[in-house]
Amino acid sequence: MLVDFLKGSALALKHMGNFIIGKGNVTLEYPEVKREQPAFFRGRHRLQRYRDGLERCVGCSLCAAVCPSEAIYLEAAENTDENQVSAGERYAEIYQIHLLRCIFCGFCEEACPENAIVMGASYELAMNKRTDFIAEKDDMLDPAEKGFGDYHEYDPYISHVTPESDKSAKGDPWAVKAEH
Amino acid sequence: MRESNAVGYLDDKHEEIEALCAKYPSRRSALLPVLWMVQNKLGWVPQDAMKEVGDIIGVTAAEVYEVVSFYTMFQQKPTGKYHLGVCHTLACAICGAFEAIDYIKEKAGINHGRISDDGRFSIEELECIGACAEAPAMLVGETLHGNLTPASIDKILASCK
Amino acid sequence: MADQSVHPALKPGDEEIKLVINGKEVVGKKGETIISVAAREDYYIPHYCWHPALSVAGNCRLCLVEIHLPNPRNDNKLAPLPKPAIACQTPITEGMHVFTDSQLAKECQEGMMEFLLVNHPLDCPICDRGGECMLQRYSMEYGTPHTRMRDPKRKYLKPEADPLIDIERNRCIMCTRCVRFCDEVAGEHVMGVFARGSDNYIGTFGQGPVANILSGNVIDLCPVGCLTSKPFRFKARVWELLQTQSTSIWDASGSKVTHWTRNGRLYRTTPPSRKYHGVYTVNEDTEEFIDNITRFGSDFPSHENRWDESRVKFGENLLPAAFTEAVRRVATGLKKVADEHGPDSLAILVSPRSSMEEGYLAQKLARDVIGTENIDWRVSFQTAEAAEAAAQAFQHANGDLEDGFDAVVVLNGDYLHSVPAFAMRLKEHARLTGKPIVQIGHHHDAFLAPHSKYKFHCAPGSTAKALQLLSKGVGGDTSVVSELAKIFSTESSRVEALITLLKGVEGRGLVLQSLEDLNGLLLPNEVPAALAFVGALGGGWKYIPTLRDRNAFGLHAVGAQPKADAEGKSVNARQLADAIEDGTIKGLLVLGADALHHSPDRERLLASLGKLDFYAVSDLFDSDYTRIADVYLAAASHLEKDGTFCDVEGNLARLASTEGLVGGARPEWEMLTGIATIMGSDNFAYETVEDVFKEMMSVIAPDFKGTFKKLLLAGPRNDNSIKDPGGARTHTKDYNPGDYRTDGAHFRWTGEPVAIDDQTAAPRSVPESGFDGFLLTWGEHVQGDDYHLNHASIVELLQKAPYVELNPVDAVKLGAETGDRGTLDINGESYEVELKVCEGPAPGVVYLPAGLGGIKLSGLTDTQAVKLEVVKSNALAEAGAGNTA
Repeated sequence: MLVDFLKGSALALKHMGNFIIGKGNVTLEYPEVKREQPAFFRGRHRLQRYRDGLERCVGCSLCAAVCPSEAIYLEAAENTDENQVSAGERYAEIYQIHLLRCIFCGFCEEACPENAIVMGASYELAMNKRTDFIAEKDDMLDPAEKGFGDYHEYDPYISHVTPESDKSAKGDPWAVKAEH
Repeated sequence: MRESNAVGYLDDKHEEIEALCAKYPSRRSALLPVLWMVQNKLGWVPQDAMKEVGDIIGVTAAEVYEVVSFYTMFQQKPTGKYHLGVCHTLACAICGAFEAIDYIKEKAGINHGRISDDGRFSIEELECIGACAEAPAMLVGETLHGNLTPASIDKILASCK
Repeated sequence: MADQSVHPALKPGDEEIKLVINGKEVVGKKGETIISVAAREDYYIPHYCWHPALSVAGNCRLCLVEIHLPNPRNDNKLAPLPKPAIACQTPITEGMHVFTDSQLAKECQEGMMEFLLVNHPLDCPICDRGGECMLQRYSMEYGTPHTRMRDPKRKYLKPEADPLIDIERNRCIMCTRCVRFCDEVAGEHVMGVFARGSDNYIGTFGQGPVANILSGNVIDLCPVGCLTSKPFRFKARVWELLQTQSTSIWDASGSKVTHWTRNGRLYRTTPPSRKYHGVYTVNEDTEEFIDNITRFGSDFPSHENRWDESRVKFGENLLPAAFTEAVRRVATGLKKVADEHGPDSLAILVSPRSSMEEGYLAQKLARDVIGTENIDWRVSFQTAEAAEAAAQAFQHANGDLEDGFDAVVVLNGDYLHSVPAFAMRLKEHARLTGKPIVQIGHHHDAFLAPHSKYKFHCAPGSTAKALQLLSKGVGGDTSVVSELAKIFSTESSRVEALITLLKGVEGRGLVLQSLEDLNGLLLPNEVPAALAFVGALGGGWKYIPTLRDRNAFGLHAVGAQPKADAEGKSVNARQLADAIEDGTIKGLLVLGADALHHSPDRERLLASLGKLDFYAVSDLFDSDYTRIADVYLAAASHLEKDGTFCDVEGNLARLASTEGLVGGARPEWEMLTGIATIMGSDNFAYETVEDVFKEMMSVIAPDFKGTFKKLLLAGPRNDNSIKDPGGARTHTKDYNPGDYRTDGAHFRWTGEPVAIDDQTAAPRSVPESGFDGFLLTWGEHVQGDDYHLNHASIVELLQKAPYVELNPVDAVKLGAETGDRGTLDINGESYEVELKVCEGPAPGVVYLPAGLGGIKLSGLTDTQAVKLEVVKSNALAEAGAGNTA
């Protein structure tokens, strides 16, 4: 019994010592300092862009279809030569996510065929009004300079899935998780 | 039956067409020969001629266009006075069909597109025309010329007045 | 099953063939193909190009099955065919063993899917077909998860061909369903497969439109995303939409439809959905084709001009009011007029698009509460006599296409543009069975013409005489032949052949009469003539009058018009303007003001409405007729209410509400219930429209055994919009085309035999030949001016350019051909029209579809001579321009 007591005291003293010398702190000076999130963190949604600023989202509604809490609503429209919003023919004219309904499961990210919607690193989700919880497209879109990749790489006429790529498609296909 | 008397490409051929149609159990069977009449007259088959042929034969223009676009020997674009079809399939290609084509283009003055600047010649690369024994070979209209050489090409072109 | 004397799938007389599919012994009839027998036995064989309503093309090769046949040279032992065979084209034979899911069949399906996907783009996320695409489904079920195709895919430029149909050729798999549909069902080979081999593509000649009233069906027929709907393009994904089984309100063909809605808005309308692997989805194999107006025009209720609040007149202004207040005003207003001027000073007008329940309640209100016979729906007829003749025609309507026919006599009319789906079914029956169509009259339907065995043109107004003589002729009187030949301007031998044909029909015959032709002007003569003709032909012959108005038959059935013995004593819809002018009618209630727009003398009617003491109207939109009302009642549209409709064949169909009521709009049966109750009746205690239905059916069809819900096919209304785990949210239920013909719900009337006297049959005097013009005939066009259709989102895209039909004989005289333009002088006004040369009108007659391009026919009282001049365009130059394939 005494041995156990000494063991416990030693652990307490060890942590106390660590605290004094400033090693292994788990608390942060939030909000001045923000915690780094791991790549798999599922925070507030972001809509990504291509390098040339075009939106990746093509308004296919697969995210809305897969959403278990029916938090996503979108209406698509057709790109024109004057108003090219996304790559391809179709873009999301209205894209809303009801953040109070959202359970941050990340299914939308998984369903997205264009790597357009991703769960971002932001976990600051407090709002003043209930209506603010409906995130519009503009609230979620990345700034144009954060675009990556070239949409010309995406060509619906070239098949992406081959037996080889099928087998190798293990793990996270999107290795880069762009920072928020 | 033709439903009107508008001016058309085949106005002078009505009797001939009726005689043709009489040969077949149904009028639409005469489609190919009637299209040949148009092509022989104009060198190609314009779209309004397809409409006219359809009216005469009693089929829709879409059906005529199906036939015209199926057979590559029906020209859908204007041709020159002499239409040169040069074979470029294996035997002819080995024996220098591509050189012959370049030479013909140069000599006939076909600088861009497929019609010469003076409108006299048009050129088309054909798949095998069955004259492998005389490769490289070419069709001028319906006349076959084999064993093409620069000299023989000059002669052929010169004979096309 | 096989040991029964006649298999349920066979008719007596069919040659029976026994075969085995996947180990199960089944029976088919000689000439059937494997795929249709398998479909009947619930063995699904995947297919793209095969369609039950179309000819067999056999080019998708997806339905390959393994077949073993008894080998006669080896003691009839089973021997496999050396190669798999396509189920869609292989006829069944005795003792055949078919394997639809053997290893070989599966390998074939897998291989074919890979081939079909070789050039198919992977753009499912943006493809409107996504979610209901046969390629997607079969890929999952029969395909492989990967492709070995490494080369670039074939790409085509995208044509701008049709305003309503979007063509994306890259996605095409060359099943040629659309080509065959246009060729066989829609009647014109306007789409084609162009070029050869791997360069094949589908399209129209010169990238023109698929100009046909039935063209929209190619969208459903297309198993992939090649042909999609332009109005629906990118508007929503199909799985997000709520499906409701309902019926069309546009024409009396009685098309069944599925409305696809979301958030109270109609996105698209298709033929009834079907269940595929537990999910309701669009039916690619449907045989219930619908016309373009039904398909694209049904979304008018969401137009911005909708008045969805009831309004009451305060001083000069019509101000929004509560529904109850508006109803109270109507009731007190009607009561006041009735008290002051007597019950016969009131009239009620019902729109022919009202449901049967509404018609029933309206006539109950008129007869039981007010006490008048002034109730009518027949606004669109030219004269009061025409309306009466129409009622007589309905009283004898007893035919049905479902029963089939051995011969059909079609009288005057443009059936394709009045009852499109009905005309299509009629033509399909004639085309597939080879039964003869006989067209008689001054106007033939050009759509039916290719399948008409006999076509007899006569002068306008001579149809009745011709029918009278024909009746005598089939009775054995041979003296009429020469006279008939004169009327028809043809040889006696052809008339004799016709009489022989008609006499020879022993089984079933049909006589079709369009009540639309000349807005019924000639009906007082032609209806008795036609009925006498049917009588003379014998018992097997049935009679179908057709009218575009959707619920004309239903409203006739519930008695929403003056009773036969009261005609003449009461005011019918066509006498209304006169009656208001001379002060007989002081108060008017109009249910559905859209009907007034169809009145041939609408200007006069509109002017007279101001003289009424009390005028109440229900409608959806702001219009000339609603603006001047004392009370405007906001009505629920066809998407918001329930009701029962009856089509030209007497079949009942349910209209079903999609997502409930909008704003302050209420269905008309609620209004009528309220009005009657406030006026002091206690017989109007209806909780739901179903109560009205039950009472109505007990009165008009005591034998009716079905239920309101059964009629809907959609089953009990499922209000919880929770997603079905399988997929789409839906109001629909398994749909079998035969279901709606529930016992006793099929209206067939039997009228007294009709005899026709010489006076009625006498030809009307028409201008003698020799005048330098044409006789004008006209008829309602389903695409024509319609107050509701004008509020549909696609109204701009409809081809509403006015055209006239012209006989080929006259065209040669004028030197005109289809596509030329001309000017038509009517009543001193000149209109520019397009000329269409076809077999429709008789020589010397032009036919003008009413309501296209704002041509006013309202001043016309009879057929009259009009002038038609051809403006010759340089047709060749015009056709050559802009044609690049």
